[in-house]
Amino acid sequence: MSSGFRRVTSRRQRAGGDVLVAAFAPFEVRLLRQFVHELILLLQAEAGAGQEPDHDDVDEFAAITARSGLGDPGDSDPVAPPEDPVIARLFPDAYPDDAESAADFRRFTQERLVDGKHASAQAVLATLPDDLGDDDVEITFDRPTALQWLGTLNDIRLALGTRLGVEQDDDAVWDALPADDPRGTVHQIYQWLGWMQETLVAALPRQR
Amino acid sequence: MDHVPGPTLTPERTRQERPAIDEGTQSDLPWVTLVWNDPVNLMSYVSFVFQSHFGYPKPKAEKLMLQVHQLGKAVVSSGSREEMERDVEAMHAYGLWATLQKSG
Repeated sequence: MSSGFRRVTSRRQRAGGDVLVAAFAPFEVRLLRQFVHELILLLQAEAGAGQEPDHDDVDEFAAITARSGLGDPGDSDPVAPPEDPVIARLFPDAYPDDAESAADFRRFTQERLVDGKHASAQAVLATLPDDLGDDDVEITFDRPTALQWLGTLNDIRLALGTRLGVEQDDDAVWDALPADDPRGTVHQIYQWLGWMQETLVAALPRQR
Repeated sequence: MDHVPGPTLTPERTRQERPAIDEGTQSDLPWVTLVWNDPVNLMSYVSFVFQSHFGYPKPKAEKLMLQVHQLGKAVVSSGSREEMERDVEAMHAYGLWATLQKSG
C-alpha cells in the first residue's frame, strides 16, 4: 500500500522548485486510473463532446466503479439546472435564489469549468503508467501537476461522496455496513482517496 | 481582497451597523462570495484553497475554513458583482460549494 505523497527537493529540479513523490502498488495505480477515467467520461458527457472514448482500461475494478455510479449524467443542457446530483455538486448554482442569473452564470462559465476539470484529469492520467508489472511504481510530479492532482482527487471524491450520500461525521454508519455491502467497498476507496489528498495537501511545495 | 465582513457569528449586529439603504443605490452595494459547508471537502484542502486563491495568510484562511465547517457557511470575499462571479467560478473550479449575493 502507498504511504502517500512526500516532498522531495531535487537538485535537477531546483529551478522549478520541489517535486512530489509517491509510491503506489500496481492495484492502486489501476484503481486511480479507473476513477480518473470515469471522471473524464463524466466530464466529456457534460461537455457533450460526443466522442467515443477508448475504454481499454477495464479491469477488476470496473465492477466496483459501475456500482459506484460515478458516471451516467442525465441531460447535458449547459444552461438548465443539472438533474444529476453529481453534476449539480461539481457545478453548483451560483445564484441559489435567482434562476435567471444562475442560468446566465452557467452559460458563461460552464464550458470553461468543464474544460479545466477535464484538462486536470487528463494530466493526472498521464502521470499514471498503464504498463504495470508486479512492482510498486514511483510517481513524481511538480507543483503545477500537483494542483491538477488535488483538483481531480477532489472532483472524484465529490462524485463518489454525492453518489454514496456521505454526510458529516457519519463514519459509524459506514463501519456498521455488512461486509458484503458493495457501498462499503466504495466508501473505503472514497476514504483512501481522501487520505491520499491529505498527504498531497501536506506535502505541496510552496509557491516560488 | 482587503476587506471581508466580520464573522457570521454576529450577523444581526453586522446588519444593524450598516447605514440605511436607499432603494435607488442598491446596485452600488458590494456583493459577497459565500462558501458553504459540505461533508466531502477536507478541512486542510479548504484552507489551502483560501490561501491559494485569495492570498489570505494561513490564520485567516483557517478561521474562515472553521466558520464554514462549524457555522455552515462563511463570507470569503466581497466586491463588485463581476469580481464575485470570478471568485465563485474559481471556487467551483476547486470543487468548493460557493454562491454570490448582495451584501447586507
